[in-house]
Amino acid sequence: MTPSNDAGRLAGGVVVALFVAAQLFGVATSPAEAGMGHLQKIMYVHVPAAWAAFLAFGIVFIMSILYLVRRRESHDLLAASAAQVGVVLTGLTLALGSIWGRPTWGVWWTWDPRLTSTAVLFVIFVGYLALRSFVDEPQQRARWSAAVGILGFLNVPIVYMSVRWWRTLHQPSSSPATVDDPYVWGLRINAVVFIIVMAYLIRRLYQASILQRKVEALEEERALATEGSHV
Amino acid sequence: MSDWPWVIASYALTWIVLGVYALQIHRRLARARAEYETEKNRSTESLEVEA
Amino acid sequence: MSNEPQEPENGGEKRTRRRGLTFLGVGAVLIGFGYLLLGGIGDNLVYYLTPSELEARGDAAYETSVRLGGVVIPESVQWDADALDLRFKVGDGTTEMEVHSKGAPPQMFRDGIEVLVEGRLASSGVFQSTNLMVKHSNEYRAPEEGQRPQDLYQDLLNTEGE
Repeated sequence: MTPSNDAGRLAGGVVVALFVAAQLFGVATSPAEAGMGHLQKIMYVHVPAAWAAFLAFGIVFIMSILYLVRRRESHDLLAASAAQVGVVLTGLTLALGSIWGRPTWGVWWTWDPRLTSTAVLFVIFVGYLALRSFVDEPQQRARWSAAVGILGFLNVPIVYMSVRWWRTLHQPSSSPATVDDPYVWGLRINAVVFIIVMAYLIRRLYQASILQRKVEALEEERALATEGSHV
Repeated sequence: MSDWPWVIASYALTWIVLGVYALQIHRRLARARAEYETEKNRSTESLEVEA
Repeated sequence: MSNEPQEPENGGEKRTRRRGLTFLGVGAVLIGFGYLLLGGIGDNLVYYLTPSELEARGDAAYETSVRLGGVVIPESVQWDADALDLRFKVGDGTTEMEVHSKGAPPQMFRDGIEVLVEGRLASSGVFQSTNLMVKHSNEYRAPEEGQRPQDLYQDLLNTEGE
């Protein structure tokens, strides 16, 4: 067992422990809300998933710009890892919102601007991942991905502001002024832990893709060496 | 009490989605590490043969 | 990362072959993006009308599918539990409109809450709703002592149904 493997295992254990603790804290400290009762507790997974997804796409945005400026493959691979985690978190946000919407709004889904723009965000980054899978040449893949990653991120502020700019079924953003104390800390703690989970997943995925690239490089090197020895 | 099934479904979905995804990443990383070790050893071998 | 692979200057022959395919891929993504953004959201920019806006349409207001949004006028709710028949008024401060809906409303439905109804305004002047949605505000309040959240809903539907 290599030391990095042990460290990874420890980090994974800590992340899981934090995740469990944050959710227990949230559920245990929240009384049934005046209007929606215990359904309020869905807030502690839906909202953090959305915030973490926004941040992940923020990483894609920054790394895509850095790639176009510096042309370092590591930036491209980090952007790709963040995009994949962002897609999973956005999908989770949509599914959790749907589960929350059915008992509170009365519908699983409606095409209001918040929901529609979030669905668009999801589709764009699924497209980003699809694009990567069908372009083999690494430089070209990185350039095109960076372009889509930057354009795709522009949708994040649109999603965020949609509840202010347009009429929606989705409520506007809450703030500590609109949320009573018992719920504020549950949300904050779960948000922080979700962001830690996001960072952890991106890091692991990034490590894996760096290693895969190194393997590819070594294979090429070896192929060249064997070819050379035959001539 | 009809609230709880929805709450439980939400938390369960969160765990299933993130758990399955984390395991998938874990396996991918483990495979990448193993491949890298093999490839590194092979490269040194082939260099030794050449020398 | 000190030993990360740096890009070679030449992308190789694959590059030309792949260019067409890549172009298609990126083009599809961008067109999809543009279409959804301008078309999809564009249609939904005015997600619902207020009673005043619907009324202002005059004759055009009747018998077309629209979403109507407003506040449930207090004490306007009539619920027939046997027939699952719900009648209430929605208002926006200036105009009130009668709404008729089938089936039990979502549990947060109560006097004074914002709702959206999908359906059409009948010539009788009653909005026939096929889908009732309750709009939640961004407020989350701990219940007062002794108050149970579902009570409001139960009281409303039970007393109004008798």
